[in-house]
Amino acid sequence: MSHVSEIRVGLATCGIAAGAEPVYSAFEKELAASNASVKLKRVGCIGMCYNEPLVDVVYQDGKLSTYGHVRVEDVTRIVEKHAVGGQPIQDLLVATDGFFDKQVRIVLENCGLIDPESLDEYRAHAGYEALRIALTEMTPQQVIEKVTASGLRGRGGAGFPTGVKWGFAAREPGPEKYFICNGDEGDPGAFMDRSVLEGDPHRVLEGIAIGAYAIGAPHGYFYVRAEYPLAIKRLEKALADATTAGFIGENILGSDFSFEVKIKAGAGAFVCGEETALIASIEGRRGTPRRRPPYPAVSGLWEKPTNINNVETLANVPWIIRHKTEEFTRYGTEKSKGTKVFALAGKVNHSGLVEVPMGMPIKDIVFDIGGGIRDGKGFKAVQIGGPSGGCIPSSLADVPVDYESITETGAIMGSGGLIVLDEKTCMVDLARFFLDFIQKESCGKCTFCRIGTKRMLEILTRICDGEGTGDDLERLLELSEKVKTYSLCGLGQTAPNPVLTTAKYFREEYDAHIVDKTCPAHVCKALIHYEIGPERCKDCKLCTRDCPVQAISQGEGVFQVIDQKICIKCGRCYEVCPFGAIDVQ
Amino acid sequence: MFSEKGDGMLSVTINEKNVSAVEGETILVLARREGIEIPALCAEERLAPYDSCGVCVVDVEGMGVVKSCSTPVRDGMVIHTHSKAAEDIRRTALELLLSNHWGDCIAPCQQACPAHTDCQGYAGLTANGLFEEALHLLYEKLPLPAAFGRICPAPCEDACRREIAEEPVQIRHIKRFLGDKEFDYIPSVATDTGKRVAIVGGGPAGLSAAYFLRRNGHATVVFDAMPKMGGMLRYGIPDFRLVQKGLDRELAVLEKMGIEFRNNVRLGEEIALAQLQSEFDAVFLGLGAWRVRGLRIPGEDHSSVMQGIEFLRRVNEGERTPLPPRMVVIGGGNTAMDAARSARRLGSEVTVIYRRSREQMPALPREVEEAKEEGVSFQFLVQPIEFVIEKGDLTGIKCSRMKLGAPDTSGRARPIPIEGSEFVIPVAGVIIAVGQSPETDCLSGSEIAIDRGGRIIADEQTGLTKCAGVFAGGDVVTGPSIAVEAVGAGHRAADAIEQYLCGKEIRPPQFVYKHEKIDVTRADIGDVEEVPRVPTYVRPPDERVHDFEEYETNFTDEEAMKEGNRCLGCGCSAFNHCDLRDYATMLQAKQEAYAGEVMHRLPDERHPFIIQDLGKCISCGRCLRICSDVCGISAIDFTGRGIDVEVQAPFNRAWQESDCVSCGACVDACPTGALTDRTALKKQVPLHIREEKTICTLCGFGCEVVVQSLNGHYLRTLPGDNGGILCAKGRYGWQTLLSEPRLRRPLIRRGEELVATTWDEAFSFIAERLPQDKGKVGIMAAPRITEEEGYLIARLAGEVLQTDHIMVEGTSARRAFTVPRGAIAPISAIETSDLIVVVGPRSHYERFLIDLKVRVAQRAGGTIISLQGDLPDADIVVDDLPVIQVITALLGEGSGDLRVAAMQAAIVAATTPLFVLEGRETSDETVSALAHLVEREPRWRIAVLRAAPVCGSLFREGRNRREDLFVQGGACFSFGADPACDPVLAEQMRTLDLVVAMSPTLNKTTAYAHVVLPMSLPFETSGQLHDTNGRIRHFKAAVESPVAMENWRILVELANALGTDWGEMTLDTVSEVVTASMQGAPETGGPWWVGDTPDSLALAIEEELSRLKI
Repeated sequence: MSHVSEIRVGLATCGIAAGAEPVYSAFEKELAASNASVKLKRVGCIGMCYNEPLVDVVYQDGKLSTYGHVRVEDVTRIVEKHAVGGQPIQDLLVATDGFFDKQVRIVLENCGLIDPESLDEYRAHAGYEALRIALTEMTPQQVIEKVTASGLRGRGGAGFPTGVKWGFAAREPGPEKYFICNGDEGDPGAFMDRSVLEGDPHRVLEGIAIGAYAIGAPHGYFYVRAEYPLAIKRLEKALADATTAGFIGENILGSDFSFEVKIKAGAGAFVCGEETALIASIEGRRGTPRRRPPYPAVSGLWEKPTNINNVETLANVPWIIRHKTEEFTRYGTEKSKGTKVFALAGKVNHSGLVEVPMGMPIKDIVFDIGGGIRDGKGFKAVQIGGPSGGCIPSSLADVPVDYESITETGAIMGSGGLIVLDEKTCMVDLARFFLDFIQKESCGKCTFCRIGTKRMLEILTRICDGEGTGDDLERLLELSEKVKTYSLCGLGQTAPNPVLTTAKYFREEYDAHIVDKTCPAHVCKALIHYEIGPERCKDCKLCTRDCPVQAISQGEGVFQVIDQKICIKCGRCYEVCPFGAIDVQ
Repeated sequence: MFSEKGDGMLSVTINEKNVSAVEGETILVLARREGIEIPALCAEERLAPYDSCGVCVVDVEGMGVVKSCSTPVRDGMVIHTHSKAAEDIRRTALELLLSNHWGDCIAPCQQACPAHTDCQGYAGLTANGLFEEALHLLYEKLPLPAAFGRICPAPCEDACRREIAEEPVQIRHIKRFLGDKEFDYIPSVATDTGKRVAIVGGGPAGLSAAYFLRRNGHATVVFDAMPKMGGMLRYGIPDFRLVQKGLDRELAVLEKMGIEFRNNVRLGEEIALAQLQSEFDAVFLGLGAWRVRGLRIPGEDHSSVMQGIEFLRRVNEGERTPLPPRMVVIGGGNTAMDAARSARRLGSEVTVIYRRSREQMPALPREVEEAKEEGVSFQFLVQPIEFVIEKGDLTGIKCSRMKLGAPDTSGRARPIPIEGSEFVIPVAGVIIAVGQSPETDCLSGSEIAIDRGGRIIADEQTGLTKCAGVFAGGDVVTGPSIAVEAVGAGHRAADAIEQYLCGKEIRPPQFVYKHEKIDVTRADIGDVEEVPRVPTYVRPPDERVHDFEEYETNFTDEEAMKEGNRCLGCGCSAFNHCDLRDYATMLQAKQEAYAGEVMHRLPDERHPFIIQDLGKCISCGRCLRICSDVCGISAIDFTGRGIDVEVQAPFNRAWQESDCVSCGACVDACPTGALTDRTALKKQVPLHIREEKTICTLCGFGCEVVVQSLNGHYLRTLPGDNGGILCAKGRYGWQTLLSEPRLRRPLIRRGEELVATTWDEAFSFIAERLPQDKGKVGIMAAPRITEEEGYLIARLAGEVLQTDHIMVEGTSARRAFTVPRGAIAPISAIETSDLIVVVGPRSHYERFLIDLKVRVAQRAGGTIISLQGDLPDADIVVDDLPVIQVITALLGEGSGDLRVAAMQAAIVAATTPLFVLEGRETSDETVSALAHLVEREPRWRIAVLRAAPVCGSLFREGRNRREDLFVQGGACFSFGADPACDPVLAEQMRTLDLVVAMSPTLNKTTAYAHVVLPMSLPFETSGQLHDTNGRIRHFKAAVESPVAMENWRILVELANALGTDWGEMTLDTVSEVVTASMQGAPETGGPWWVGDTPDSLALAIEEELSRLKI
C-alpha cells in the first residue's frame, strides 16, 4: 500500500450543511500537529450526499478510501491511524455500494477531485486546454461544428441542440452580442448546477468563453441565484483568477478574441430561469417572460443577439473540445448524446449527485446507483424534471433517460431533478404540492397561468381535503389542457404536467379521493384517521404521553383509544408506538 | 417590439374574406382595420403586444388557436376570428379573469329592485345636493316616485350592503324626498312614432307601460274601470300611507307627457279587447288582481262582513261612515293591516285574527308594528269557522285554534285545527282580507290564455300573451305582488312592445357581476365609519290614529344629503365602459364558471384624483405600460407573484408619493373599473354622462378636450387629442377649482359678509366706489379667459378705467417675442425634429406634454439636449452654464466646453433643429440671442411654451411689476384670477378702497372683495384663443353655465354702468374685431408672458396633491 498523499474534504454546500467545516478545521489542526506530509484539500461535492460529511483519503497512486458521516471527534483517529499510520479505520469507511459503478463523469470530471478555488489545480486537470485549442487551432465556425457534431443538447430542460443554437447567434450581424450562463436553478430538490459551480467553477467559465468565441460575443453574464452564495463566491474567485491569468479579458491567449464577464445574482424567482424573463431581470426589469419570437439569438439582452446556455451544458463544452467527437457520442442514445447529471433525491437509499450516460433505464438509476427504496418500501414512481415535470410510474421503470423517451411518458427531462417516490406517497397530494409551488412562482403575467393554476390548485386541495365532487377531475383536466396550451412561457405550459401524469398513471388514486373519500397512501389528513388495535396495544401509554392534544386515553380494558374529535392526525402516536399497534385507516 | 414593417403586401383570408395585409402587422391590427371585432383586454394601439390576457385568440388554419395581438400575419394565412375553438378559449380566459374579479357592475340595491331603479345613482346625486338630477335619474326607471317613496317595501334596502356596517341606507325615504321636490320636471318624449298603444288598467303596471312607451314617442291611451287612475295605489292604500293629491300630481306629469287617461271604462263592458286590437297597434293588459278570495264559510255574505279592498276603496273615496265599536279583521297581509288601521281611524277597536303565527304573516314587519302602535290587537293561530248571525245581526265569529304542521306548498307551516278548541269572538263587524286574484272573466272567449288562478299566461320577460300584439304584466300575470314588480313588468312589456312595433332588436341581457350579500364581510367594505340612519319623524300613534293624514314626514335637504352620503357606492363607475363586462356579455361568460378564492383588495382613495380599486384589476398591465412606455414615467409596476400579483407604486407607497404626475393616462388605459378618476362631484356616482368637445384654455397649447357634464354640472375632462394624454392641470385643474360651490349671482359686502344682490346694484356700487384717480386702478386677469374677454377687459381698462396697469396671473411682465413669426414652430413640430434643445426644468404641468413629444422625437432618432433642466435621458445635458452663454457659444463664439462642442457637432448634422422655451422663465437676453440665432441660421425654429393662451388683446405696455400693481386707496379688478394667492399682492389688497372680483367660485381674493361678480368657466363659454402654435382656435361652450349673464356681457354691462356706451354688441361682433386684430398682428412671434406670480390653479392642484400625501 502506497503512502497517503492527500486528504479531501467535501466542502460544497451539502457538506458544509452536514458539518464539514469544523471537520476540515480539525484536519488542519491535527495534520499540522502530526507533521505528516499530507496535503489537505477542499473539494466540491463528492456526490454521495447521503454520507456527508465526506472525507477521501487519497494514496499516491490515486486510489482512495472514503469516510462518511465524519465527525470532528473522528479526525484525530483518521489522521493518526490512517494518514500517518496508513491503516484505514474500517468502522468509519463507507461502502460506495456501486454508487459510482454505472456513472460516467464528464461534467463532474473534477467535482470532488480538485480544489475549486485553485486555478492551478484546474489547469493541472487539463483546465483551459480546450479554450487554448479553440482560440488557437479552430475558427468559431469549427467550434460550432464540433459542438453540433457532438450532439450536445441543452441541459436546462428543453434539449435544444447547443451547436445549432450557437449557430443562430453567430449568424446575427454586429459586434455587440451577449453570452449568458443560466445558473438560476430553481427546481425544488435540484442542485446539479450549484454543485458544478461550487465544485468546478473554472470549467463553466471555460465553457462560456469557448461559446462566446464561437458566436462572437464580447460580453458574458453569469446569472446565478442569490441563494447560492458559495457558488457565486467561488465563481467570483475563479473569474478573478482567470482574468489575472489571461483566460478572460482582452486578447485572450494572444488571440483577437476579447471577452469580459459579469456575475449577476438573481433574486430567486423561479420564472427567471426562463430565458426572456432572465434577460428582463438582468436589464433591471421585473422578471416576466415575453413572447418568442423574436428569439434571444435575434434580440436578447439590451435587444442584442444573445445566447443562453445552462451551467451543465457549458460544463460539457471544454470536455467536448478536448476530446474526439466519437468519445462523446459513444455515450447516450441516437438522439441524446453524452451524459446527464441528476440530483437524485426522495425515498431512495443513496440520494446524491449522479452523472449517468443518456439512455440508462430509470430503474438502474433508482436501484443500482440509488441503492433502492429506503426502508424496504415499494417503488412507486419517479418525479422527473422538477415541479413542472411529471411522474413516471414504476411500471415504466425500463424507460431510458433520454429526451424523447421521457417526453413520451408525459413528463419532461427538465434540468435533472429526479425524486424517487415510494408506496407511501399520495400522488394527488404530490400534484397539489408541485402546483402550489408553481402558483406561488408564477410571474402572474398571463391569465391561464396566474388564475388557471390557482383554480387547479384549489380543485386539488379540495380533492385532498375530501371535498372533491363528481366533475372536479374532469374540470381539473380540462383546465390543465388549457393552461398547458395557452400559457405564455414554459412555466405555465408545463405547470399541469404533474397533474396530467399523475392522473394518467394513478387515476384510481384520484377516484379514491373523490368517490370513496379515502387516501390510499394514507397521506391526506382529511381522509385518514388513526386507530389503536386493542389486541396489539400493550398499554405502555407512550402514545398518550406524546399526543400533543391529549386525544388518547384509557379505553375499556387494558388499551388506549383515540378520541377522533380531538385528534389532529399529526401521526405522532403512529411514529412512537413500539408495537405497531396504531393503524392508519 | 413591433416587428419591422416591410414593403411587401400579403394576401390573407380572414373570416372567408380575402384581404391584403402589411408584412409585420399582427392579426389583431389587420382585423381591426377590417372592422372585425376581436375582444382583447391587454392589447392597446399605443402599446407593444403584451400577450397576457388570452382573450384575443383566433383560429388560424395550420396553427390552431393563437393570440391575435402578437401573431404576425403571413402570406396565405387563413384566419377564423370567431371559430368555436377560439371562442371557447376566449370565454375560458374571460371566465378565469371574472373568477378573480371583485366588484359589482351594478350596485346590489339596483339589482334587487324589480324596476331596476338606480338607487346608488339617485342616493349619490342626493348626497351631492343635486336633487333635480337625482329626480331625473329616478324617472328613468320609475314613474310616480313620490308614491313609491311612500309605499314601496324597498327590496333595495334589504340588499343594501350598508347593513354590514350598521343599517341599510333609507333608499325609499330618499326616493320620497325627491318625489316630493316640486321641480315641474316633465320627462322628455321622443318624436311621435305614429304608433298607438292601448293600456288597460291604470295601476302601476299599466301606468309604467304607458310611461315608457310614451317616452319612446308612441301614443298611449290608458283605460281604467275606476273613476280615477292609480289602481290599487289609489283604491287599495289608505291616505295616511299614500296621500291622493300627491298621486294626482304625479299622474298629471304623465298627462303632460301626452298620455291619455280614460276612466270609467271597463274591459268587456264599455270596451272590448277586439275593438282595442283593431284601433290600436298594440294592447297592454295590466288589470291587476281585484277579485277577492272569500273564506267560504257560513254567514260570509252578511252585510256586516266586508271585503278588505272594498272597504279600503270606500274609505279612499272619502266615505267616513262609522263602524261598529268592535271590529275583527281577518287576514295577515298588508291589505289586512291597511284595513285594520283604517278601521282604527274610524273609531273602532280592532282585532286582527290570523290562522298562522306572527312569523308567517305576509305583511311587512313595519306595517304590523305600526298597527300595533295604533292599538290594533292580534290573535294568532285562530281560524274562523262560521259567522254567528243572531236575528239577522252579526254577533260574533266562531273560530278554531290552530297549531302549525309541516310546510305546505307556499313553504310556510300549514295550520291545523286543534280539535275541540272552538270558541266565539263576539263582534258586530268584520273585514275579510285573505287574498285577491285577477279578475279576468272579461277575457273569456278571447285568444288569451288564462290559468286556473285567473292569471293571464304571458312571457315573463316580454309580457307577450298567446295573442299577437297583446301583452300583459303586473298582478294580472303574477297574482298579487308588490307594486314595484308591476313597474318592472310594465317596463319590460314596453320594451317588448317597442320591439314589436318598430322591430328594434332586443339585446341579450348585459352581464352583471354580483356578490351575494352573504359573501361580503365587514372587512370587504373597508374602514367605513359607522353612521346611524338619519332619524325620520313619525307622528305619535295616539295623534295619528284620529285622522287619515300622512303620518310620516320628509327629510330636509340636509338630512337627505346626509342619508345619501351613507351609500357605500357598491356599483362600479365603469359600468358603462368596461371591456370586461362587454366581452362577458358578448361571449355569455359566467361569473361562477371557475369560482374560487377572489383576491379582494379594498379601494385605495388616497390619490387626490385617481381611485384604485384593484379588486377589479385583471392584470392586463395597460396602466403601467402606458405610464412607462408612453408617458415615460414608470410610477407603477406589478408586485407579487402568482395570484397575488398587483399593480403598485414602488415599495407599496401610495401612488401620489411615487413619480406619478397625475396625467390620468392609466385611468384611460384601464379596460375595467380598477382605475377610475374622480369627477368634480364630492361623492362619486356612476352615471351616464354628456360629453362635449372643446379646447383646453389652461395653457397655450390649446389641446382638444372632452368635457363631461350632467345637467350643466361639470364632472370631468378627458383628453381629446395628444394620443389620449393630458397634463394634470388640463385633466384635473377644473375639478380642483370646483371643490368650492359655484357662484350664480353677484355678491356685495355688507359689513363682514358677502350678500346676494342684483346685477344693477352690484354695478352701481362699483361706480360709486371707483376712485377718482384712475391711475390707482390695477387689473389682474386669469390666463385662461377667451380672447374676446381679454379684448373687452383691455377696452374697459383703456376707455373706462383709464389704466394701463394690467397683469395676467402667473406673470409679472409682458414681452414682445421679437423673432419672426416664421421661426415659430408649433408644439407638434417637436415630434418631427431631429435635434431638440429643451430649456429649463420641468416646473410646469404643461411641460409634461412637451416631454411626451420629445420622447417621440428621441425614439425616432432625434438628438435631445437639455439646458438648465432635468430632462431624463437627454443625450447632452448642460446645467452649469447660463443658457445665454450656450447660445452664444453655439453661434460660433467658441467655448472650451466639450459639451458645447458636442452640441455644435450635433447641430451641424441636424436638418430640423428646434429650441423649446418656457416663456415664463426666459430672459430678454436669451430671446435676443435666439432672435440672432434664427436670423443667422434659418434652419432653427423655436417652440414657445406659454402659460397662457390669451395675450394678443391684453398685450399692452404698462405698470407690470407685481410690486406696484395695486396702490393704497386704489382699486383692484380681478377677472377670473386669484391675485390674493400671491402674498405680495394680498398685502396690497388690504389697503384698497375697492376690490371687484369676477370669479366662478369663492376664493382667496373674494375674501377681500367688496363686490363679487359670478363668472362662467371657459368650457361654459364660446370664443377663441390664440394658441402657442399661432393658430386661432374657436370653441363652443361644452357645458351650460349656471350664470345667467355671459362673461362678455358682464364686461359690457360693467363698462356701461361705469359711464360709457359701447352701443349694440353681440359676441359675434366682438369676435370679428378680435379675429381681425389677431390676423393683423405684427410679423413677430407675438407677445408672451414671463413671470413669477403664482398660477392659482397650479397652486390649487399642488395643494390638493400635497394635502393627501401621507
